[in-house]
Amino acid sequence: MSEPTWKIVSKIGEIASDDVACVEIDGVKIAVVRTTDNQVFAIDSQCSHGRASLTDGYVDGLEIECPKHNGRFNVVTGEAVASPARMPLQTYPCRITGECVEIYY
Amino acid sequence: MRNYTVGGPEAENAAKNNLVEGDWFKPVIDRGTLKTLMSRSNGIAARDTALWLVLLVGSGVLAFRCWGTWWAIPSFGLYGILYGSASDARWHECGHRTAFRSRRANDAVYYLASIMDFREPISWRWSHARHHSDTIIVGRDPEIAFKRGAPLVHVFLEFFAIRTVISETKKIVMNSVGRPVPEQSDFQPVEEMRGSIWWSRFYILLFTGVAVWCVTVGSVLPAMFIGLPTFYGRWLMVVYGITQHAGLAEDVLDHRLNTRTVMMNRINRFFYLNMNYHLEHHIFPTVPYHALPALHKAVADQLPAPHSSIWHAMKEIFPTLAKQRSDQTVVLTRVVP
Ligand code: FES
Repeated sequence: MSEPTWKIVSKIGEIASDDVACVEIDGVKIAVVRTTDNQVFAIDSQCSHGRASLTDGYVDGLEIECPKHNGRFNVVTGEAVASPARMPLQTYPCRITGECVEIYY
Repeated sequence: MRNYTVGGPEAENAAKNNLVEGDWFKPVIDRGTLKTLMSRSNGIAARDTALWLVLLVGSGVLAFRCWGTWWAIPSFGLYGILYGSASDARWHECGHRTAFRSRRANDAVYYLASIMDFREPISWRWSHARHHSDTIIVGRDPEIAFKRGAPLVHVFLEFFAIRTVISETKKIVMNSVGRPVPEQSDFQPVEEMRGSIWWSRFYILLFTGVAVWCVTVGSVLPAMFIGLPTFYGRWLMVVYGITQHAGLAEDVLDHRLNTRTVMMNRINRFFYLNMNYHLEHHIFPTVPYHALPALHKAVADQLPAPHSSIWHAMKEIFPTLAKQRSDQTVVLTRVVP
């Protein structure tokens, strides 16, 4: 695996405020969450509980809710904060540079 | 009759047929619209919960005052419905944690309603998650309430929670000594058993306490308020619950074929917290109950027509359940757009 670098994954305008979008790096699907105060966070898109993509879920502040069983994850730490989600998810450094969203991957 | 045991032989068939954690049909809906529908607030659920509790306490006070007169019958009738039936929808919505925005408020109402429904809250949370993963997949779904070929007397007994309470009591007793019942181990992680153990012990303490209270005062009155309403107030929950999936397809990955939406009046929708939009709820469990009528409108063109009333649904359900007694291939089919 190559050394991690900042990779442009999206334009900021493509991610609605207080919502989530799916991006893909090297075949890995990542959910990019944009908060109302214009911060961005990147977290694995595949729920750790079952077969569901968090990019279809619901963003509530710094938490994202899985569309299948309403399990929740903190998008900053990846921690599972509401059952039935129990296992944490991988998060990635994410930033806005100009018009672009970048993930350190 | 098929073997409905969770984790039993039908579970293997389900896995072979790619029915486990399958890819379910989803209607097309604009992301912005869905996001709006998923929005959470505390206000609506606080209003509905306050009204429920005020009615519960009010009918309880009335029933207490009327004890020994004929007026106690309608008073306890209403109290029972609020305790034994309306609690089910509160249990359900707060179990999904969509009713309130606040997680604490959802959890508080969930635990209270679990006691009223006589459900050990931790195992039921996991059982309900499985019900959403594998809805009416035989051998996987622990919440198939109306099994094909089952004697109709089982449905009748369910109106008074008889079979449910017997199996739940067994589970609670086993859990209280740290032993899950076999089906439970199929859907509840072993790490989550600790919660079940303590809740089971609490239930035993609570209901034994109520029984002792009754003996001490020489009256069944305390149990009429705590415990017995689960039996005598259950019937309306079963009326609603039977409309959800009964008689429809098993082992399909399309909720349109195994779940019903039934139009209901405002009073029923208050007791049932809009769970009459059951098809929409299964497809989008992140949408809170108060947004389900709007969700129904947004995707109606992609779903089968809803039933116009509870009676309209019952007219297809009971004859089908009766036919399934002798022929379990009988199934209600749906025309999907
Ligand atoms: S699949 Fe995400 S919480 Fe169950």
